[in-house]
Amino acid sequence: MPESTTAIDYVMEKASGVSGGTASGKTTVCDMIIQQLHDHRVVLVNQDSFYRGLNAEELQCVHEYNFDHPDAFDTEQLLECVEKLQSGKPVQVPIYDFKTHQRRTDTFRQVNASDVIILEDADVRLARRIRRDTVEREFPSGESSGRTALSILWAYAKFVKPAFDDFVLPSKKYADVIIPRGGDNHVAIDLIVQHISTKLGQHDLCKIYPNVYVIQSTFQIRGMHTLIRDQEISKHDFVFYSDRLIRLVVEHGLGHLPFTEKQVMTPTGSVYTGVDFCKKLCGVSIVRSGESMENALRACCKGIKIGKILIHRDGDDGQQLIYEKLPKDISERHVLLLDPVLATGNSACQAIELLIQKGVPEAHIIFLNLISAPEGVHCVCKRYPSLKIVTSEIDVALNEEYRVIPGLGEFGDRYFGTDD
Amino acid sequence: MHTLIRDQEISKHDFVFYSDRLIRLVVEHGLGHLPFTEKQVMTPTGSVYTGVDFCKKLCGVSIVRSGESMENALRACCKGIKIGKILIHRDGDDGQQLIYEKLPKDISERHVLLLDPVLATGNSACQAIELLIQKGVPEAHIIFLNLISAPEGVHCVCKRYPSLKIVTSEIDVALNEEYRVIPGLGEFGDRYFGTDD
Repeated sequence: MPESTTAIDYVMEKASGVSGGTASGKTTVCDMIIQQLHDHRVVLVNQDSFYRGLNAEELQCVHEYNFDHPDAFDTEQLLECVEKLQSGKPVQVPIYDFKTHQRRTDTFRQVNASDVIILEDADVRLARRIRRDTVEREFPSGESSGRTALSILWAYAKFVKPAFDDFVLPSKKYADVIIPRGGDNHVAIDLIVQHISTKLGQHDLCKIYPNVYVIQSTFQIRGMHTLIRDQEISKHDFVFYSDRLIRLVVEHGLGHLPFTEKQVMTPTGSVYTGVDFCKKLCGVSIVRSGESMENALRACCKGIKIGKILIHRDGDDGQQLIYEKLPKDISERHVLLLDPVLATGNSACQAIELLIQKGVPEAHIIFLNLISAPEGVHCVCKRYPSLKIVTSEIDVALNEEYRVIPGLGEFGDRYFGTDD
Repeated sequence: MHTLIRDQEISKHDFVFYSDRLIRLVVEHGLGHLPFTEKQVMTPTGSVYTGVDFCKKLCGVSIVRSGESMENALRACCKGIKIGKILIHRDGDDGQQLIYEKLPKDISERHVLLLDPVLATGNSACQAIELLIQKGVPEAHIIFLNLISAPEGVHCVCKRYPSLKIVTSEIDVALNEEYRVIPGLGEFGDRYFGTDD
């Protein structure tokens, strides 16, 4: 468990004794870090969510209730949540209603286990305690959940309490990073973001298989995934956002093709040193879902040849090739193999096997996915180490029916409208 | 693709095709910088997927004429998006004059994607941004999308508007003495709209 509990502490100091202050720099810093990271594997857990609900007596004199006192928080539950997240389990974080001073009973926020947990917290004793718990205690290596790198960032901020000198100043020596001037300190925030990005690196599977490429996640991509995974979405929207995502995967996949250097003269009379595309190219779609990716490929590569492979899924493992129609000179081409969902990898392997039989070098195959299951990635990458997989997201797992979880259901049925 | 669109020998058809592909990538990248809110959905497999919800209040503003080449890509990504226009007349080398603008009325509440494929001196860009700020758009809500940017233009815009974001696909070497981007690609609008003959 080499890198599992790197705790990054950082203390932010408000240099000129800012008093009062719900206008704290800590929220700004956390927001800036999250915005700059552009990564869904970073979650923000706010201590505010763990306020205890007030009882009737306390409600009567709510204006006298000390919300800044550590006892106002359900610290035990917070620790439990952080521990669960660390061991790779999702947690349900309560939602606190600041109007009624009660926890909402009808709803909660589901937080999935993430590689980085940013805990925004106001109390130094709590922070110390969690720090002790996470640094000194040995956690299971998390092999089963596939997580090895786990970083925790403690955000200590806004200590506008009388105990500032007693608690905060001494704790500076435990901090790895100290940020003066809070949210205005762009350099410090950039450094932290860079550090987290590096630590975060790539998906664990990308560390195992250098031939897996997950396109860089942005909120826009994440938003499109949210839409196409929603079972309530209209067919029209499903097709629209799938098409946009597929287009991004295709563009990214094309970026992995070889090229040669080329110099051109621009209309300003200057020389631009650029590259020339690989000309010998073709697409191969796995019928039926794969055909949804053909339009995007055609939109990027005018007049590209597209072959087809139909594999019949007979029960859970009996796979049978029942149709193929490929360009005759396929062995001389780079092949973009199209299938939006990679589940077990059985049909993918069979399709790749066929391409190799036809004389396509393994290294000339790029397999494009929207969503991949870890099982499928293992299966394909182990067997074909020189092939490249380009995908937009790697999901959690397969369920017992070999469907991707959380996944998006039967892609072909939803895309082609045959799911009624 | 940059190699193709910068080549003076390329056909107009290919120039438009590859410009469109590049612009689409810049637009998608720019959209990735918009804010979001967390959202949970139920997938057809019955699992919960924790994702995000887009920012809904959005609009495009193109700088006439070249900027209009980026509108199609923006519409392809955001159905029914409102697109405003700004026309700035280049009078000689530095005299810039705003001669036309038509923007959504509620633009101050929207995130604005400002469209101009080539950022050269940054003079017209600054003038366009100034207008948006006058209309009440917060500086941090402006994302400026470029295909090619000259370092001079980046300096000019970023120094004056530190909270605005520029998203570009390449930063070129410099401007020449005629204020054209080097190596650049010539007059983008003329080449895209076929008025360079």
